[in-house]
Amino acid sequence: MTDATLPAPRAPLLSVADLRIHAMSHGRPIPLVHDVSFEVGAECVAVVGESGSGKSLTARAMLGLLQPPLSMTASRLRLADTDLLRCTPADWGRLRGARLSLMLQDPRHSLNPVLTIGRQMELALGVHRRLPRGERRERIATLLEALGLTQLQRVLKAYPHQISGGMGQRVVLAMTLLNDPQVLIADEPTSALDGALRQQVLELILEQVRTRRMGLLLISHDLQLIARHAARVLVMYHGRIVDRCTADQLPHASHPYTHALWACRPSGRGYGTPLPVLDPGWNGQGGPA
Amino acid sequence: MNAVSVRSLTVPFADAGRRREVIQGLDLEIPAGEIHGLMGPSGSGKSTLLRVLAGLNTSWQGEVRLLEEPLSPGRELAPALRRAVQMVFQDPFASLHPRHTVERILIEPLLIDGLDRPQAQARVEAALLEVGLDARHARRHPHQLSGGQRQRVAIARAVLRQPRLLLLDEPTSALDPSVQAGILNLLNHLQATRAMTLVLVSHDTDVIAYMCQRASLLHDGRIERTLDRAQLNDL
Repeated sequence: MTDATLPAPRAPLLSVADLRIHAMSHGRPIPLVHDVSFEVGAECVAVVGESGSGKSLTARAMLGLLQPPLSMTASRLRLADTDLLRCTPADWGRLRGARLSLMLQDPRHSLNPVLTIGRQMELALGVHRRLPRGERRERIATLLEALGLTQLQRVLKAYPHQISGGMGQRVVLAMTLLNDPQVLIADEPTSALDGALRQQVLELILEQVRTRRMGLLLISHDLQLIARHAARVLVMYHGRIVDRCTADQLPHASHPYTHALWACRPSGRGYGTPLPVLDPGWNGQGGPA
Repeated sequence: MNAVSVRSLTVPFADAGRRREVIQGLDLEIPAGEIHGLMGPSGSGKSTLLRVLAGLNTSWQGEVRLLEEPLSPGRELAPALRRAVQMVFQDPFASLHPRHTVERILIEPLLIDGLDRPQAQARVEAALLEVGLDARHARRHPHQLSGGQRQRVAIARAVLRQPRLLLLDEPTSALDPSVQAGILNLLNHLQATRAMTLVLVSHDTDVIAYMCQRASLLHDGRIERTLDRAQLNDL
């Protein structure tokens, strides 16, 4: 399916065309991501695919986070009216965390282990805005409460190792939203959490994205979760987008790779029958290798 | 015969100097040959229970019998039981020696068990084939394998000692769904061909519903309810 058959986002907040990512190895460029193009409006766009398919590299390219030996080229990379291809390192510093935020899988890797939650939230706010202390604290408290963190004083005084994984991920979400970004890139934001928490945290993210009219680029393995919550889905395989569909089309996907990704998920109804396993010979071109 | 029989099991845990119970008076019976699931939220005690059964946590009170043999608190498993009860961990990278080749990782327990090298080598080759790997993988180090291949090596190491009880602590939660499917198929195949008892800890109810004949739902160190096959279908 092509983009033409999908409802186009009304005003793209994030727009990328012909993105290519290479890694230099022994003086030769090794292509990792090939000609990736998509747009994200005020909606949730999911990127799915196996490990190594290029999902996280694509997300990091959107944030200008690729470091040598990795490099990228694109014919377009825009955040609303800003041309990200012309950004200097200082521009990226002003942009990241303010207009474009990143949320990672494990809160233990996102939070500073030697600062209290309150201190690091104040720092995240202070990097981008000069606000009086009282206003800073009020803004942080309001946001944490909106994300369901009760016992506010205890959370603010706690170090990251003193709070649970679910609480940690709510704190990370609060930090990414503190400066009212236009787009949030969430890379497996719930896969380190238990089943019930997974649903709760994802619903919190989606609720915030909806009420703030932000764009969300959601990278996930969990196709069932995506089918329930995303608007559109990009399916990546070996560095290419091989399929695009609306999320409700996922269970009936005609593309063989998307179908296999959907069908390999275990369930009680499949008890006693082997699960389909992706054909390792499938070469991403729609035919056998 | 019960492969696992646990009565009034209590496991203490020191939390900031205060003693509290991770498992409180738990009873569980798992018949031989069953695939039994343990599920529940983080901190409910499922991994602690598994570590007691593996002999890795010996600070407990109560009565535990594995394959009809009683365990004693404060003591490691007896050598025969150590062979008969094997465990596969969540993170295969952390559970395989990073500086040893796959062949060395797999052959060492067999040499310790007293097999001569040619015999042990033949068993390793057969086990690699059984888990979907081959002689090329035997020469590699863990970092040269994918996550799924590493978990296959960990499973091969566990089944090489021909266990009757296999304990699995979140064996697929670090893997992609497509890789997970291959590992679940492998576990079903091994259980069917070797008539092992499997105890599978997972926070993923779909994995439990797909794999298990029965499953226990843990909450605050107790079994809240046990689900049979019909109830698992509706999960």
